[in-house]
Amino acid sequence: MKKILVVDDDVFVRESICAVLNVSGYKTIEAGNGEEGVKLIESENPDLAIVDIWMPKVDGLSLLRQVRAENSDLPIIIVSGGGPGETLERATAIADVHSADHVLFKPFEDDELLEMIDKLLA
Amino acid sequence: MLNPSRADMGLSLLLEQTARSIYDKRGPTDIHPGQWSALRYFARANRKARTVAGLATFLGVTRGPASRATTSLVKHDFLHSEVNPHDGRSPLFTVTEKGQDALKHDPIIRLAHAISDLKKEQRSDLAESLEQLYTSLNE
Repeated sequence: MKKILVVDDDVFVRESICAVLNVSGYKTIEAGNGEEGVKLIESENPDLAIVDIWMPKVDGLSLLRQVRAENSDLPIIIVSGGGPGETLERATAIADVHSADHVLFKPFEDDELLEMIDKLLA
Repeated sequence: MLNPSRADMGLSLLLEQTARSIYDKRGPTDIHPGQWSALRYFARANRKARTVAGLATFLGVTRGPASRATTSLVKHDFLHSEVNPHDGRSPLFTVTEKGQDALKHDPIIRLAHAISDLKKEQRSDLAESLEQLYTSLNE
């Protein structure tokens, strides 16, 4: 069973994404910020990570930078919505520069997320 | 604060001129830079996010300018609007065939090709420098 890490500081968003993934046959692990996410990537070796862009402590872009700096090719989907930091246009460009596999804009449909995961794990 | 050196002023002007030159040759579509940002967004965004509100969030602007850019792209047949099944007051937009053709000639592609020609270290230094400069300007 493929293991997917979901990193989001909003527990409701995290749980709803995990519920969709579990129903679709994926095992999930969760982190509430980028720092925990990086630790779980190292210890749990997930097959894919879904990472919210804006989070306290270590945000999604910092997580992406750290993971890619270690030459990891872990598939990473960045989930982006409006936030307190940089514009989404700029954050998306930074995610592209650091080789995010996909940027999903909020709101999104479950099917869109699952389709993207299937494509990346194929 | 000390005045910047002439060399740093020169470098700043080179950066500004480089950015301006991206849109020097607009081509037959004559799309403005802000409209290009909107068109790229609608081409990339997942279905449910293809709304004026989604564009406004993406660009970090209010709904007014996002709506004007979208309306202009619809008027010139680069975008098509359809009823949003989730919110009747907020139509969804899709890129038309004409819009897809325009995106094949997106002026930013010329710059991307030029960046591809840089050495790996130059590209990495450029990314780091641009992120740092933008952060300094927006602190």
